[in-house]
Amino acid sequence: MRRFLGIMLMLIAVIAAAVGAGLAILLGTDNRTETGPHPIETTAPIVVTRPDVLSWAGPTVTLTVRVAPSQKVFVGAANAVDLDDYVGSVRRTEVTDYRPPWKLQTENVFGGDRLPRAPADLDWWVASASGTGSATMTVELPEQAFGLAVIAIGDGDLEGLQVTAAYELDGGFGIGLGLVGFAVGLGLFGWIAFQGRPMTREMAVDDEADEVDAEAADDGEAEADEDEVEPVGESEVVSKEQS
Amino acid sequence: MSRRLWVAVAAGVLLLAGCAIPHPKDSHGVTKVAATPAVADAVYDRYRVVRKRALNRLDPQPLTTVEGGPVLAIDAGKLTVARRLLLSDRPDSTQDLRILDVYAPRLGSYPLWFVVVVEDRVRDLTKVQVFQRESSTTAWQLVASPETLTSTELPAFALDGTDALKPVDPLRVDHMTMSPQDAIDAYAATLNHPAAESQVSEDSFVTQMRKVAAQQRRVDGVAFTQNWTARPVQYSLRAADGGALVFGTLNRTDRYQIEKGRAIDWPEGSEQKAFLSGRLYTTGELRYYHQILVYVPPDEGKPVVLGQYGGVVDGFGY
Repeated sequence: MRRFLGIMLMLIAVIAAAVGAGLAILLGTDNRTETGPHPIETTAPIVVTRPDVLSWAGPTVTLTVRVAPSQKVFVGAANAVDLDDYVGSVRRTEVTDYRPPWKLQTENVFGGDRLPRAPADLDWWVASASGTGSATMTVELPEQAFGLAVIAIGDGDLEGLQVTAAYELDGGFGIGLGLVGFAVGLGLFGWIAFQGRPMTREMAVDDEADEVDAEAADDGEAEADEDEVEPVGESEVVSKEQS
Repeated sequence: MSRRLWVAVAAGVLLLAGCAIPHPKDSHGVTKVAATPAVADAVYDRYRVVRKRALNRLDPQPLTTVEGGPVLAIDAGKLTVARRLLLSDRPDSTQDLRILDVYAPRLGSYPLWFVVVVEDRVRDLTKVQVFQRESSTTAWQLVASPETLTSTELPAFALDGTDALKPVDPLRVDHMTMSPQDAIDAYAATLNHPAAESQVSEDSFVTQMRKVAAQQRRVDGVAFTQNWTARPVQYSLRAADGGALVFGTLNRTDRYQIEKGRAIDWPEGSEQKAFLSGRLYTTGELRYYHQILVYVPPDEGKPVVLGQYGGVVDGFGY
């Protein structure tokens, strides 16, 4: 049983160490990792992610988009219900799948050329930014279903679009190192358990005490046996004497 | 002792890591809670400002940005009456409207809507109002505004695990005495056919409307008819006891046929005088909207009106 427990603990330790080390190496001391710039091929004025593409919450993402130097561009993050209603009838490129660090699948959707209203006039963006030639937006991925949108402002499109994404995890480097430390301790604990040795001095003392107690118990039982026999003998003797 | 320490350390590290490490999102799908209390506050602040401006000018035009549907028609009708008759007691622009509660459903698409319970301290009433956003690019508009007495106790609203309202399909009975739409239809039927057996309560709304109709019928030389129709229900929500609160709108049409050789002079300050000119010789028609807040009980009992808001919206006569 102890050997099995030891193996399990060491297995968990290896996984924890791998995750921790990976996290620490990936994020570095600035708790941040960056990928890009990556081109996205589109001739549409809008690029949006489908709601199920960003299915994780927690990390902070910084998105930098670059387009033609004279093109005004808007980048925003919003609840998927808002975004779908806003761009639903407009020609766009939809990101249908995303795999980190950067693997995209896209689909072109036909529709009108003009949005019903300028994106900067709307109040439901969770985060947004705009600029000429480029724009940078930072957003913490929320719990709600949401999407990202890059929108060409005016009559232009997003030809030549390039995206750089940076992922931030507050305290991620520390958490990674903490996991490694935890894994080392857990591994040692598992190794000791695997060896079948007493795990701590207290336990060793406990074990010795247990052994002493066990021996004492055995003796006690023997004595008890004797004690049980003796009265009978005595009673027999007594009864004999009485008889 | 040592083993306990290890367990505590392990649990602490995992807990710490679990808080910050990316995790799958909640399981509510593509939905949105229509509005947060902060959004509702901002929407209402804007509404107060625009409403005050409209009341001060006796001009319904500003209201078109913050009101829609029957509420806009009713308020525009009230302002029209006041303006045409230049009433000395013009609508009071002093307002002390305070939000008591905000309730919002979790919805998967537009239009989005939410409910605010508002205390009107000037008129000593409670307004149960619905604000709607038709699309992502339009503004929030007040679309229902039934008023209840402050003594009227509203049933508790049923909320889901995220404190969102639970909307009820207007056409489904769903463990109630009748569907929300049937309840509003039943009110229209009751008001159209006073003698028939009613499926709804003989509440103060029904009594009051019958009294108004009876007064109109007493005018000599005038054949008065009144007709009620129910509009499709858009907003209904689950009550905590399994019933439903339904925001319904009834259309009311009052028709006056005047006997030959006679004429009607409407009382000063009346809505008839504003919409049907000073004197009526042949025929006249006034249309009203009445927004009602109806409680449909679960299992047994008849629907009852908890509050209403209504008024004339247009008319003609000669």
